[in-house]
Amino acid sequence: MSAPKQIALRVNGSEHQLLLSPDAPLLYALRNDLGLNGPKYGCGLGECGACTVLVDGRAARACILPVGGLGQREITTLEGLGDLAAPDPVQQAFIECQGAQCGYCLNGMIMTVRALLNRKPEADEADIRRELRGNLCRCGTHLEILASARRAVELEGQRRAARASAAAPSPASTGCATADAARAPVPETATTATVDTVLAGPLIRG
Amino acid sequence: MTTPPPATASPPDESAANAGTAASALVAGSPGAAIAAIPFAGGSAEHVGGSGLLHARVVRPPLDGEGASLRPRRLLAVEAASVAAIEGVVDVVARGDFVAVVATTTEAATRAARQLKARWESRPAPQPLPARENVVYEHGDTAAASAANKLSRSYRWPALPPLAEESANACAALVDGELHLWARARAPRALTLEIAALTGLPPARVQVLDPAALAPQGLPAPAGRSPWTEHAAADAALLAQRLGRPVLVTLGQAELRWSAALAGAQESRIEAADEAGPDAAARFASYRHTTLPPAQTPLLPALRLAGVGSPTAEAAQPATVLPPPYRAAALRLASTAAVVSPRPPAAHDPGLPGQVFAQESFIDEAARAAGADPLAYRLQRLEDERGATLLRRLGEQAGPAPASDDALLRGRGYACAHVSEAAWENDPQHTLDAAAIDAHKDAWAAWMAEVAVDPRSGEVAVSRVLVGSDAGALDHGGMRQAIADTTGRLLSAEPATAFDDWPATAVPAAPGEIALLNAALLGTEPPAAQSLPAMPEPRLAGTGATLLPAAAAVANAIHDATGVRLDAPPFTAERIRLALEARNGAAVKASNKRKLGWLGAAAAAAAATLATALPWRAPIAPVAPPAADLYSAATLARGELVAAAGDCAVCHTTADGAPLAGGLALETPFGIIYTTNITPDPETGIGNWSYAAFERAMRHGIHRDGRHLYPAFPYTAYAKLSADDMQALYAWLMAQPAVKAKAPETRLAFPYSLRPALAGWKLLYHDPSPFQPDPARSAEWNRGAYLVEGAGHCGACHTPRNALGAEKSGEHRYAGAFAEGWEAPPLNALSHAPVPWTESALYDYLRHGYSPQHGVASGPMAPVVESLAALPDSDIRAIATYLASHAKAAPTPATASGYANALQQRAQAAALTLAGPAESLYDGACAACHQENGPDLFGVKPELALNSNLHSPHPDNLVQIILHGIQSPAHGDLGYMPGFAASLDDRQIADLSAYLRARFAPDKPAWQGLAETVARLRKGGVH
Repeated sequence: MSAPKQIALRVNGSEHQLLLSPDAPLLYALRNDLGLNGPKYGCGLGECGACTVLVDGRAARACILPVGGLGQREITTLEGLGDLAAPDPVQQAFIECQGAQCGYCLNGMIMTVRALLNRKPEADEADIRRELRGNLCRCGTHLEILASARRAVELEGQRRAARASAAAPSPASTGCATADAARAPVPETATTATVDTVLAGPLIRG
Repeated sequence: MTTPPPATASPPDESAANAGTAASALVAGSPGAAIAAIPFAGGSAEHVGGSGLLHARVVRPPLDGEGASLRPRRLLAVEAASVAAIEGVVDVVARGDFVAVVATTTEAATRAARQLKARWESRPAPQPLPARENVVYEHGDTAAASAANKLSRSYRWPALPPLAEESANACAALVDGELHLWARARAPRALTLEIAALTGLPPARVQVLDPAALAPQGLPAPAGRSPWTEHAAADAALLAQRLGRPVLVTLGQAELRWSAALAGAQESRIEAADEAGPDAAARFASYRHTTLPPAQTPLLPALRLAGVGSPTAEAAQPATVLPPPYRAAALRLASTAAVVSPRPPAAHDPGLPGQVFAQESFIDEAARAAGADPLAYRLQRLEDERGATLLRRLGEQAGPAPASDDALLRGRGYACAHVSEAAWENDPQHTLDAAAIDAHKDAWAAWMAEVAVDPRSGEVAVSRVLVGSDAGALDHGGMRQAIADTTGRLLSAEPATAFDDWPATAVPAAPGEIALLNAALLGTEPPAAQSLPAMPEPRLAGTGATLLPAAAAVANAIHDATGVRLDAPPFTAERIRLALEARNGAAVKASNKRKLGWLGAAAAAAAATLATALPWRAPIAPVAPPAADLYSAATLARGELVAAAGDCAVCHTTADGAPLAGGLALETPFGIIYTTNITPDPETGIGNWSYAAFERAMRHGIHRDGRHLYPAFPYTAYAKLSADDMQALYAWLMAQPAVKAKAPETRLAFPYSLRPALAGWKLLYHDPSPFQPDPARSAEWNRGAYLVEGAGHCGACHTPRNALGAEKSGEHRYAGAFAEGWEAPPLNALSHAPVPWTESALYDYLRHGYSPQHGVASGPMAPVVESLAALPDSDIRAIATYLASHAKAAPTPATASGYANALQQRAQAAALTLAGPAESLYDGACAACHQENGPDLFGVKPELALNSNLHSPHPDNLVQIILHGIQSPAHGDLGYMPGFAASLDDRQIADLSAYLRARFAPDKPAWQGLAETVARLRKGGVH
C-alpha cells in the first residue's frame, strides 16, 4: 500500500480532504473516515454488492474502488439519497413494501435500483431482475425486494410527473404486489429496523 | 452543430409577427430545422430542397514524387461498404480521382473519411517541360560583366503550410437550378468560371455569396484563408450538384497540406556583378533576376481530380518580375513562365513575397561578399530617396547591434520592399502605362529583425522587430498580430508530411518586441499628390507590402548571428543546427563520418562499424546542467510529447518514487536490471550530461562515462528519433525537477556482467541509423511507423528476442513475447484476438485503454496507454494505421460485430455444458461484473468471450489479472478489478482459469500446467 497523501473526495454534495493511501478502498474511507455507515462491508471483492454507492450516478462497488482513482467524481451514499423527512422514492418504496429481512444487503439493493432509475426511470421487470442479479441476499427476501423495486419505479414516475407539472395526477398504483401473489396493502407505519436500514439514519424509537 | 443564437432576444410577439418569414422560422426553429433553410444574399430565405444540410469530408489521393513531378495517384476503386456501418453516412461520392464521404454530421463524415478504403494506383512521372526564359525587361548588356566579381545565387519560396488547427470550409446548394456557394473567395469571378466548368452550368447560374450569412443559422462559422476556402467551395459544388442537397465541406489539416504540397515552390535566380571604378559603391554593373514559377498549375483540387480543364488557369495570369530598387548599369528581368507581363507585380501578386525574399537576401549576401555593412550597402545603391530615408530612419531607431554571448548567438537583419499598390484589376484593358501607375501608387516597407539562435539546438527566436512603412498609420488593429503571425510562420516547422512533426508544438512564438514606425514618425509621409485615392479599407490593412520584407529580414538576421544562409523558408531549428554542425571544423569530421555511416555509404560504413565495435568508449566530459530558461516553451512542450510517446517515466519511476528517478527492477532472462535516475541531478542523475553524451546514450547505448548500456534500455528503438525530437527530449528532461536518488546498481551474473561484450552485441544487432520514411506509404503511416519503431519502442516487448536478447526480425517482427511476467501479444498476423484487430479498435484501445471487442489495457500496457494520453488524436490514429498494416486483413466493422455476436453465442452455449465447483467460482468471483446481460456498474464491462487473453496459447495474462486485478487502469473511467490472490488458492485459480477457457474459448485447447503457472506468477516470477 502506497504512502498516505491528501485526497479530496466529493461525497453527498460536499468535499472532504482526507489523508489516505491512494490504494485504500473507498468503502473504508466512507465508513471509517466519514462515518457514513450506509454502505456495508460484505465480501471485499466486489462480489456481493452490499457496499454499493453511486459514482456520477452509476452503481459502483465501493470495496474495490481505490480512493486515489476517483478524482472529482461525485459519490453518493445511502445517506445522500434522502432522510426520514424526505426519503428518496426508492427508500420510500422499500419502507412501504418492507423489502428487508436482516437488511444487510439493503444498501446495495437500494443504491442499485437508484442507479437503474437514473438510467431508465420506466424500468420493467426484466430490467430490475437484470440489475439486481449481482446483489446477493442471504435471507431469501428476493420477492419483497423485487416488489419494492417495482414500487420504486411507480414512486419515481410520480415524482418525475410531479416535478414536470405542479399538479400531477397520481397513476394507478400496484402497491407492493409480489410477482406471485398480491400482498397486503402498504402498512401505515414502517418497522423501526427497516426504516433504519433503508435510511441509514439513527434508530427511531417509537 | 451549434445551437441557433438566441432569437429569442427579440420579444415573443415580434417573432410571432415575423412568423410568416423564413427569417424567424430560422431562428425560432430547432437546429435541424434551421439548417434546412439557407438564405439568399438578398435577405429573403428559401428552403433548399426541403432537406437538411449534409456534411462532407474529401479524401485526397496520396501523392507520389516530389517537386515538379509531385502528382496524385489515380483512383482504382472505392469500397463504400467500408463505411456503411458508420451511423449518419449518406453517400460516398467518386468522380475521376475525386472522393468524398457525405454524412449528416461532420463527425460522422470525418470518421468515415478516415475509415474509407480506397485503392489507388501510381501514375508515371510526367516528362519535364523544357524551361524557356521570357525576358520581361532588359537594358544594357548583363552578360558582359566579368565573372570575377560576379555573385550568383538562387532562392526558393515554397507554399506556406497551414498553421496548426487551421481548417477551411464552404457550403454549396442548388436553388432552382442555380448553384449558390457560400465561401470567402479571393477571386469570386474566377471561382465562378471554374465552378461553372466543373458543374457544366452556365457561369450566370453560379453565385458566390458571403458566408457570413450562414453563421446566424447555427452553421459553423466560415473559416479559412484563401485559396483554401475556394478549394472547399469547388468540392462542395461538385457534391451539392451530385446529391441535389446542400453540402458543407470542411477541409482539415491533411487536405490543406495536400494542397500546399501540390502548390510547389517558386524559385528566383539572381546574378549580379559589382561595378569596378568610380561608381563602384553606387550601383551594380549588371543585375539579372530570373523567376521560375511553381511547376504545377494552380488548379482547384476538385477540377484537377475530376479531370476538368480549368478555364482560368488556361488563360493564366501573366507572370511578373519585380524590378530591384537598387541602381544597376545593366538590368535583365526574366521568367520561365509561359506568359509574362511587362508590369511590375502588384502588392497582392502571389509571386511577390518570394521575389522580395530573393532580392533582399541577395543584396545582403552581396554586401557581405564585398565586405560592406548591409545597411550602408543598400543605402548607397537605393534609387528612390523615399526608400533610402525610410531605411536610414529604421537603422537609427534600431540602435547598437545585439551582441552574442556564450549561450545564444544574436544577429540583426534588414530588408525592404518597394511595390506598386495599384489595383490592376481596375484596369482590365491594360490602358494605363505601368510607369504612370507606379508613380502614383507605390509603397515602401522596411524591416529590421533581431534574432537569438541557440547554437546547440538551432532554435531561433525573433527577439525584436522594427517595421516601417511610408504609407499612412501602421499601428491599427491587426498589424501587430499580422507581424507576429508572419514571423511565426517563417519559423514554424516543415509541413507535417514530416514524420516527426508534433502538432501541439507547431505554435509559433511571437517576436519578443514589435515596434511600428509609421510614416509620420519617420518624416517620410508621402506628399499629398502621391497619397492614395480613397479606398474602401486602410491602405495596408494587415497585409500587402508591409509584411513583404519579413522573410528576408529574418533570414539576414539568422545569417548575421550564425553565418548560416537559408535560401528558403521556413527557418527551422533542424536546418540551422545541421548547417552549423556542417560548418564547425573538427567536430564536423567525426559527426560527418557518423552521418555517412547512417546513410550506409560503403566506405564510411566500414569506418563507423569499427568505431561501434570498440569495446571501451571514451567518456564525455561532465558539463554544468543547461540553464532552466535556455529552451523555449515550444521545445519543452515537444520534448514532453516525445517523453510521453517514449514512456520514459513508465520504466524510470518506481511505484512510490519521484518521477524519472529510476530504481525500478526490470526482470530479464539475464537477471534483474535496475533503471537509472534520469532527472537532472548532477550526482545521481544525468544533470552533468551534455547533449552529445545524451544523444550517444540514446542512439548508441553508451553511458556518459563510456560504459556500454544493456539493451533493456531500448536505444535500439530510440536511435530512430529525429534530431529535433532528440534535442527536445533532452531539453525537457533537463527542465524536470532534479531528484537526488541513487538507483540500485545492476549486477548481472557472468558472462552478462561483462559490459564490453555488448560492443560485439551492438555490432550484430544494433542499427543506429535514423528513421527513414517510406515514400510509397502515406504520411500517416510514416508518422505511425516513426512513433512505433522509434520513441514508442513497441517491439521491445512485442517482438520475441533471440538467445542473446536481441529483437528478432523478419516474420518474427511483432510476433509476441513475454515481458515483466506478462505476455505481450503478437501484433502481426499471429494475433490470437478472436475478433481481428481493426484500425479503429486499435485506436480505441490505445486512446481509451479499452476496446469493446478486445478488452482492457492491463499489466504493463496500462501505464503505456496512460502515457500516450499526452499525444494528440492524430498520433494515436497514425500508430493504429501503422500497426494495422502489420496485422491480418482487418474485417469491416459489420463483419467484426458479426464475429463478436457469434463468439458470445458460442460462449453461452458452452456455459450450458459446464458445471461443477469452477462454475461456482465463476459465479461468485466474476459474474457480478462480467456476466453477459448483467447490471450496469461503474467502469467498462469487458466481454470475456471476446477477450484476447482467453484465446491466447498462454494463460499468463489471465492468471496475472485474476491474481492481481486491475488496480491502476490506464484511465479512471475504465473501473477497477480486485485481485484474488488472497482469497483464492492456486488450485482454485487454476480451476477457474480452465473453466473460463472452456467457456469463453471453447475452440481452443485447454491450457496445460495451469497450477504451476499460477504458483510461478504468484511468486512474481517471469516466464
